[in-house]
Amino acid sequence: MSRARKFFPVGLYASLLLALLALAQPRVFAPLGRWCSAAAALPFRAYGMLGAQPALATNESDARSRAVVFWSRAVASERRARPAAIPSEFAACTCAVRGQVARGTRLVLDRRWGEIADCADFVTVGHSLVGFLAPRGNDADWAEVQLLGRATRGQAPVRSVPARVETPNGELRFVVEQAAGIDPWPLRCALIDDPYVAAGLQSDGHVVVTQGFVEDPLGVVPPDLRIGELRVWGYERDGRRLPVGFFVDPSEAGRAPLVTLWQRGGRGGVPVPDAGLVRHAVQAFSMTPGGGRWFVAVPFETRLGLGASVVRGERLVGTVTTAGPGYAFVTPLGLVGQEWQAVFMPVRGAVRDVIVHVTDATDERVALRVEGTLGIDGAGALFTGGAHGPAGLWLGDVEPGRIPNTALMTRAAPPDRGGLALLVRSAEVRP
Amino acid sequence: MIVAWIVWFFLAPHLFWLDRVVSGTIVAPLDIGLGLAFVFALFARASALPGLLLGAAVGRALAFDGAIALHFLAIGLPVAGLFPLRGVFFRGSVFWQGAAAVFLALAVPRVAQFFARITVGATDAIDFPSAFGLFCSAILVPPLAWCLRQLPPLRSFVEGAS
Repeated sequence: MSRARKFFPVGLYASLLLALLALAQPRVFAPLGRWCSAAAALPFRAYGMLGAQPALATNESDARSRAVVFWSRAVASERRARPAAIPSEFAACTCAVRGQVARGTRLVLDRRWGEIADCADFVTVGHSLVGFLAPRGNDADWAEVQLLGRATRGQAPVRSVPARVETPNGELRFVVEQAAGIDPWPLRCALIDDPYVAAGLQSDGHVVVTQGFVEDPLGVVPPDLRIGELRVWGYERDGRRLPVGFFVDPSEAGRAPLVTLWQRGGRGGVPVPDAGLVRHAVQAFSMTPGGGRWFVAVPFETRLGLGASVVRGERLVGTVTTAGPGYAFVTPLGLVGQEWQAVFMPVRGAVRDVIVHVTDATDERVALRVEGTLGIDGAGALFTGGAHGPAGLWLGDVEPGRIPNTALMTRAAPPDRGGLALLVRSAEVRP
Repeated sequence: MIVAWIVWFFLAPHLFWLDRVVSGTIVAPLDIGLGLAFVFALFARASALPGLLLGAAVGRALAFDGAIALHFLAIGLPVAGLFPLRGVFFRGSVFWQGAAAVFLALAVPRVAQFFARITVGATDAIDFPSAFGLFCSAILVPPLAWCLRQLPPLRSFVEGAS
């Protein structure tokens, strides 16, 4: 018995099972993890208290002016793209995206529910329908948008949308609804009006747009708003495709820095990017020679969420990756292997979404690999999109690299230059 | 013993911090995290392993990205895999110690990558060793582990310690 226990330690295997459970149900074990981390980080907090008192960046005019230009150009671009099918009684209310919640299925906006009480449920970006307003909460809560996408356990379902697509075989009408986790694309087509047209489809990529139902009980959706691209799934036989499933790959507009709500009879509005955000001056210390990890002493009354932004002026310089009462560890931007969904603002021309991967980094520059329809084809600046934290934070100035689909970006100064602040929601600060 | 546990809990983050610091220097192959896993697998008391692993996982989660549970499994599963082999091999054997160090160097980042992928979590602690790195692990980890288990607080958790 004792020999068996010696070579098969029950405690070790039980603790591994417990760790598996903690990984599967992180919310249940989160408080325990936070307190363990907070206790273990106490010495680091003591080291932090030995440092100088933090101060907010004072020379921010450079970044501030970039942010102002970015928002004015992004809003102007969004206003120009007003869909023709939206009745004139609706005024555009452009909102900045403050971040994503619920595993990226919801956007948090810079407006409270009470401010947008008279807005229609549908939400657009340019000519695309990106989702619908979430079930309304208290007037004082920040408004949220449910993105069109895959059904997620524990989240309220997104309403289905009547849609149509022009194919070489003719027009096809159907209802677009959330696909299940096992489906190959996030949206699926149901109630197809003409199965014969559908069965003859040999190609995909056709643009799916909304199509108004007569007296839609779920609420009116204007016609001709882009939802995404049709995807046909089926068997190959004798060189021909036998379709068995129709799906929609939703447009990428859900990661834009702003969205448009449609206010009935109102005057509309423009983004208020700083609404509800509080800045806490902090002192950060690089823990390694390469600056790959920073320690930040945080006021005890601040409850930080993972992914909270660390900024210098209007520039995003890092994100919180571990946090607890009184401390946070920050991963700075610009480390090799990082990927960001960003918005590129060229010196001239429209702003555009890009995905950038860091391939190399020095103290001054960051080499990027760029994904996106137009990419980075001239000098400009990169800003955060809506995917990670507040949108519209300046990431750095960029210029195209020598190799196609690459770019070089300026890197933020190390933490010992000071001027750092944590950007947190006002709700995350205890009164 | 309680003092040893407290010291271990506060020391572990510093060891992983030191690991990050040396990773940017000429002694980069000296992997302290691997040395700790080696001590756990071959020399630590079975009853102390859950607590040792928790301290190591908390420390690793502070120094690297990723949840505590992820780091617990990344170190704990390879340790659990090696643990029953204590009864098969003579742990003083140089070859056995070298082989165990190579196994840990291969297994720890792979287990971390697996759990990071299935939980959509991220960790920057995944560093797959090259052939030279494995050779360095086989040579350097056993003496490093010997140093670690001679010093407090790990000395208190080694089999045979009072």
